[in-house]
Amino acid sequence: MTSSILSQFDIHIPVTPLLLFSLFFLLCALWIIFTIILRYHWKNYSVNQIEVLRMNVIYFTGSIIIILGLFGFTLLYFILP
Amino acid sequence: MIEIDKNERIVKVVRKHWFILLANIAILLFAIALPPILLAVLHLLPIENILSFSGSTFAAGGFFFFAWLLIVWMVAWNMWTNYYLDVLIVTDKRIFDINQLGFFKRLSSSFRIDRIQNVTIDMKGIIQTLLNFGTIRIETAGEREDFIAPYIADPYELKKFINNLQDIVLDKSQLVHFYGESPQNKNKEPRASTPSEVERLKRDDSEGL
Repeated sequence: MTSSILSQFDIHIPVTPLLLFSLFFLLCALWIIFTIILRYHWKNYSVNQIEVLRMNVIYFTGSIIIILGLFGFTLLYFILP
Repeated sequence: MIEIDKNERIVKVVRKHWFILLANIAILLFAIALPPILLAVLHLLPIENILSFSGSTFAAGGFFFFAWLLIVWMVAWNMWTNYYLDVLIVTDKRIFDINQLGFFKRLSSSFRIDRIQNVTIDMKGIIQTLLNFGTIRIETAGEREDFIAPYIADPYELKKFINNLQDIVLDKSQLVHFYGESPQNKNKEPRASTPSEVERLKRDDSEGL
């Protein structure tokens, strides 16, 4: 049903490597802003610095894995025909 | 930036029960699973009608999945930070209640331990009883509203802790009174000069003599 509704509108987005790279950099910028806000809160409002250190390790490890995955697939899209 | 004096010491930090996090975790798991469900199982999103891929569909799918994962990851940390910073801090002088309502709204209130008049625990329902969490209500002297902290883990233990701390604080203030160390009496001789005499005075005081 959704397909038939959407087919009535002429929406067409070409997914190019440039679009994916742009989205990648946009998401990275969003992540940087979010990280600054998050770390400000942890630094100023937390009562236990050891817990904050542990949270930093988990947060940055997870973030790096996801961002690397995102970058990897962007490159893959650029390389693969 | 918690407004604690230099000579004040944090003695306990209490958070809400982990059960409160379960609803958030369920939302996040559902959010992670949502795109594959919509795409692969239900075919609800007619991707092929809207998007045209110049490269590998697998790579594009991977990219969009990781992009979605990054957004869910940030939402998850936002939820965790709200939980982590929503805290009850007990110091040797005061109790602070900090409510973190998102990144840009934070409510902080405090009151002195020696002004506590009554501590009430409210546990409702089978889940709160089995998992041992509930609402703690603290009445203080004065006209201000009662202090209410919902979903606190192990509230009976906290009540016991606050009561003990209040006893210690009141005992300390009594000792100061016995020794006559108030600013007006600083140069006078203490009323009780030995620890045994302090004990005797305390006993007499508790017996109403």
